[in-house]
Amino acid sequence: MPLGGIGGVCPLRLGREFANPEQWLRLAVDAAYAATPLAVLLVIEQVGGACTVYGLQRGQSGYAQITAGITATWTNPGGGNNRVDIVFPFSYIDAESGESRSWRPMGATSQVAGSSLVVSGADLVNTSSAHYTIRVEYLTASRSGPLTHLVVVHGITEPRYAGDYGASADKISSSFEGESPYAWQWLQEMRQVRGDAFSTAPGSFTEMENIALARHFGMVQRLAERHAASQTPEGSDQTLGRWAKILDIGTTTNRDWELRSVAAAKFALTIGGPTAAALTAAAQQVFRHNFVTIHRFLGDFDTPPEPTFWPAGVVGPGVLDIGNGVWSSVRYYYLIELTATSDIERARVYGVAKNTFDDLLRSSLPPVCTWGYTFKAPGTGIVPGGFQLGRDSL
Amino acid sequence: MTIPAGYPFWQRGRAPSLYGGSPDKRDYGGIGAVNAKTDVTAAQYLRLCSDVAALANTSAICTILCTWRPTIGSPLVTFVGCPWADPITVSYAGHAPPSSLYPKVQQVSADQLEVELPVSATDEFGVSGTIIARMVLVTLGVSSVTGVYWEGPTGDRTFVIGGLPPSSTLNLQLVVW
Repeated sequence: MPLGGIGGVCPLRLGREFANPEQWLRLAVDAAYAATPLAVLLVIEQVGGACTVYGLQRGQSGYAQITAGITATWTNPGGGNNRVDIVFPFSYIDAESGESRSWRPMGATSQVAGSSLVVSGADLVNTSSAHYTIRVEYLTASRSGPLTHLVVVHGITEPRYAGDYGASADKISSSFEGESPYAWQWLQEMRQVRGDAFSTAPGSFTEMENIALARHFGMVQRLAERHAASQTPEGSDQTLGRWAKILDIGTTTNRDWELRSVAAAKFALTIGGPTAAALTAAAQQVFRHNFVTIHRFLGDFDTPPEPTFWPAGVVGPGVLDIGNGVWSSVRYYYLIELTATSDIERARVYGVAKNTFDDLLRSSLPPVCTWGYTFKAPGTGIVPGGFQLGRDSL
Repeated sequence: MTIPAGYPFWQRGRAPSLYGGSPDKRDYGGIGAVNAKTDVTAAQYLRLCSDVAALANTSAICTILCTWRPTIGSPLVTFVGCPWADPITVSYAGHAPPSSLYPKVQQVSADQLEVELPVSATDEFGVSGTIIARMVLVTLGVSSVTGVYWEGPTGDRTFVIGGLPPSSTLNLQLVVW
């Protein structure tokens, strides 16, 4: 940000002046993928059972005693067992902004420090309507002083995606302002217009006025650019809701970046028509790295693929013919190949397919066309398995 | 040369505003993204700052793998991963680290070893920060040994790990917060 305050005005514009798209995407992806414990706690348990909690947690800046939110209680169920129940609220609070962020402890690693009475374990034992409980259990025959439990709590937080940080694969540098901000150009103009009789020294009245005016005119210039960018869904921000309404789309999560990619895909399909290239581009837009390709089964007109029903003849079992001379063929079938590295990811991607991409295709393709999805690896003999000509359209 | 704000990560004290994500940050003129393909809005930047601070708040500052060798008298350090120095994968005798940046790991009694981290370290921008370590998780290489414990820290950076077998070797993994 070589131009300091005049250049680094939000929104930040990708390009040489701030950070290029590749750098921003890397930063966002690293932040989204990083995994650290939800909390690392020292629970000091006095002989009488009273517990004090110290440590690190997501919303807290530095090591300190934790007096709100997380609490610990000792119990003795008998049989030589001891328990310390650590209760977590459903969210942590950012100490600076006061923002509440949901989290869910899933388990913990624990250790008794300052004592040889180890044999300790920790687990999530209770998810009530009000809190989560991590229970540390240990055996001790005798004790002479306080016990200190180190508990490393692992779990999940609200799903984070690079898109939440303004990162997406179609991000590009701002072709003008990313190199030299409008406000900077206006500042040069203001200085020249005033002439040598007016000071340009930092902190001088006229220079502050120059900067204020430059920022204002820069913003006005940005308004014109924003108007141009909003002419298509992929560049729109404040008008995204209007685009969603016009295109009659939504997403299950209503995240801006998801909505924008679906809107851009539908807009391109609507304007350009459902060509093979447009369909592939739309699938890439919606599924991103989970998209592989779209398979077609075209054959040729002399030897159409099975099943095909048309006046030139019938290829395939008659049970699939819906009768009355209706033309139908597997040539109208699209098999969309997707990829996922786990069952969880596959479920998420399949949800996008059924909730979002189905709607896109339904509104873009002629009624005779049908489609399906497969996660089968390439080269393993992909066939339109399960496809029932004609009936799929019904 | 631009120097990063604040102290290095190992001194802790992370909050979103350290990265410029103060709660009152907003888009100039309130116009949001000019072009969604080229811009990052104040809200998106704040989200990044808030999440990165939250992740940093619970990040470990050092990982040490070592072998307890009571018959030789000096533990063997086989790996050190910490943000203030290059990862080291060439083993060293714990009492004699290759430089002051690496932890000293030494036997202090028949069943105890002491881990001493550097007082402070300097990052790649020349900013020095105190190493503040408060907790250590000790994992053993075998499950048959029980009763291992740790005490500390002494000051900000020294831990004593006890209950180790007086006559046999044992691999230890230490994660320091």
